[in-house]
Amino acid sequence: MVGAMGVPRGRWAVRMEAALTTREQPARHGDGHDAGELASVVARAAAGDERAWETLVSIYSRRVYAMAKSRLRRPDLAEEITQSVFVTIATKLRDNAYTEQGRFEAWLFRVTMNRVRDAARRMKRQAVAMEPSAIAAMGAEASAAGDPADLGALRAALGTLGDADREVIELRHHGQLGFKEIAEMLGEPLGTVLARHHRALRKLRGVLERHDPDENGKDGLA
Amino acid sequence: MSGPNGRDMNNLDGGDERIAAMLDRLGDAERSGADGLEERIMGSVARVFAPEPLAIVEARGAWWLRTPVRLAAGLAIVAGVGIGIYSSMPGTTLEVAPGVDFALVEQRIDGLLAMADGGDGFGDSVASIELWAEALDAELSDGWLGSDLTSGLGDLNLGGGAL
Repeated sequence: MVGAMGVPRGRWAVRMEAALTTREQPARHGDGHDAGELASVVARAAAGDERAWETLVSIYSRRVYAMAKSRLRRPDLAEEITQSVFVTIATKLRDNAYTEQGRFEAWLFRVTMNRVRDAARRMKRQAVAMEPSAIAAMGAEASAAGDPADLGALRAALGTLGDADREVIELRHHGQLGFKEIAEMLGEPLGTVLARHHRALRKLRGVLERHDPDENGKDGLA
Repeated sequence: MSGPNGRDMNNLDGGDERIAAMLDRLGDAERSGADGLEERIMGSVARVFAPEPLAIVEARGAWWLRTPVRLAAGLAIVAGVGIGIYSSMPGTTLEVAPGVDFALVEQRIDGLLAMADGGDGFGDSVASIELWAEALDAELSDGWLGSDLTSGLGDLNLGGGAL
């Protein structure tokens, strides 16, 4: 199906919707998926195979989007970054510039992390230090928007983490990567990544306890 | 707790596990929303693989192809404008086409020779004209060789108007 990318957009969109309901979807790395299967999908995607792209987009787009959204707190910017990540990946694959054979996932998330870091750096000038009152306010805001208040508070508490710890948390829980993949991607020993994750959990727990000690006591967090 | 993503690799106590579970829920929440995200991404990817419009391809290639042509055209325009300005200057007597005058002379001589071949008594006249033409040719050649071409075109008066 090489060259299928050139079909008119409308027809293409309809075909994509149908394909998404019956898509082939290799399991994620963390689930012990077949790396050979993913390599095959990537190879076909490099040749412009539409169904291969549907597969890649269905597996990774939401995970990339979640990582950007978590850090930047702006859905529009998160989508923009997600789009740019996929366009970069597609361009590199098309031009045979992808040299990390067998490490597609690590590559994709590294591109994602770099884009998110750049955007976060640009936004940092407007960043406000996260005070406990701000965390409580964000929790209430999230609750009003339909999110449970505890998720809103947790989302705000993520802002108290250092960049390195936060990246491990977001790669793990938003990007749904396994620890081994995170270690490979960051180029750090597995033990370091595990320790960083553990330390981040402890810190988040401490922030949430300070934020709402009564509720945390009730939930057994204290 | 043993999770599909290898959570069992990190030995967590109950409180940390609860935070990890909350983070998983937060991740689910962050991945939701943005209706039509996949379709929009597919649209962007499709544009990467779409063949370039012919006009863009032509325009991209034509720049390199047309550059020498543009350069030559530009030089020709500049030269033309320069000559036009120069020739319009007062006192300029630029004659840059002596070859045209020679052609006319040759044409006239050929015509006279043709008449001579007809045997109608013009033989002497033709001979004298040929001598005159040779003398003229020598004079013009001396004029070219003798003129100081570095002194400027304004000094170059070949006297072609006399022809």
